[in-house]
Amino acid sequence: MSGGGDPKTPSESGAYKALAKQSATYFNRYQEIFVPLENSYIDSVLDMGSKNNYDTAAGTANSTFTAAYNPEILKQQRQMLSQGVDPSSGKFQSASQQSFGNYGQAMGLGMADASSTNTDRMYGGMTNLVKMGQGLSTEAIQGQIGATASSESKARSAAQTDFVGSQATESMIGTGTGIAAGYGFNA
Amino acid sequence: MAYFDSATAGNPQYNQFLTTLSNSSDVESFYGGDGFTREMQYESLDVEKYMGDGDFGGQRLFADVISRQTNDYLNRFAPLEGALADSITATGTTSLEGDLERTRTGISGGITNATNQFRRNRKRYGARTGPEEDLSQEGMSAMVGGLNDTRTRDSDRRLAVLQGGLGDLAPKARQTNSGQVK
Repeated sequence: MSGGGDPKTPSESGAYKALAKQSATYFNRYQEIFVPLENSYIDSVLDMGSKNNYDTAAGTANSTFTAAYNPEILKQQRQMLSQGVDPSSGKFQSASQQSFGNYGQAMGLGMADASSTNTDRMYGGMTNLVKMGQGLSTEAIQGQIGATASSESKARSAAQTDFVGSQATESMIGTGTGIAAGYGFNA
Repeated sequence: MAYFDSATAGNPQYNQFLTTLSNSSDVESFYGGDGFTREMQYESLDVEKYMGDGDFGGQRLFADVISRQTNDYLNRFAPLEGALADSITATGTTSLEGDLERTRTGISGGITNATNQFRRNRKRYGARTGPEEDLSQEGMSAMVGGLNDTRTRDSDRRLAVLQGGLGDLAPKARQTNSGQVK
């Protein structure tokens, strides 16, 4: 354990220093590995709101409904022809109009739905980003208070080994919390 | 390194993100301007920086980590939180107008498309073309239903954001402050 200086003023324990170094190492690693990935995800989420994405969603819906309806309409008309229904008759006209009307409605509503769904996806992504950011901020708070407290509980243990029964231990820990509280959200 | 501040938070560029982001370059410029740098290159923390510097090097290093984390949050995520919160309106979100417009365009385009196909279909059978291919009633019916559905979905979206999409930073901060700081 580290020591030195005025014997009435305890220094940090070696364990505390090691925890701080570990925390800094993790943060460096986070920056190196995860920040670029997070940035890429942020780009992807924001790009969901681009015109291209909406156009793609609508185009896909259009193709899907066309592929589903056209063969059925042709099939229905062929059946009518095979039954001798005249294409210029009211019966043929009425049935075709109903089928094409249904097709137009389905295609339009499908494209509208695709648009809203794309917006929902973007909002879902944004809420994920917010939670991701708050995870970071929570870590910051933890680093500031919780992690300091957590580390301090380990440090307290280590320090108590060095300063058994000494009020100086509590004093040292209190100083740590005080320094931490000077940053970030409690500023 | 540019940090988030209240001036940036009030920047309409962020508040209107849903309507201004129409392509990839807009997305890029969203982050690029006004001193808001998402692609910042962090300088690595020197883990040995304070170790030979007095008796409280560990606490100083912890403080640096905390400061870096907080600044990263303020730079990269706080503007997104602000933009999401600002997208909430009294009845829905700022996306409603765009979705309504796309609903109108989609339904009118779908009906026009079907009408044209219907016309070609009748020509193919040698039938008379004209008002017989009119699908405007179907279009009107779909439009009413589609616009109502779009409004309902936007209202649901607003509730989804309010019910948890904005995270739980405030409760955590309160809990942390009241529970851990002595």
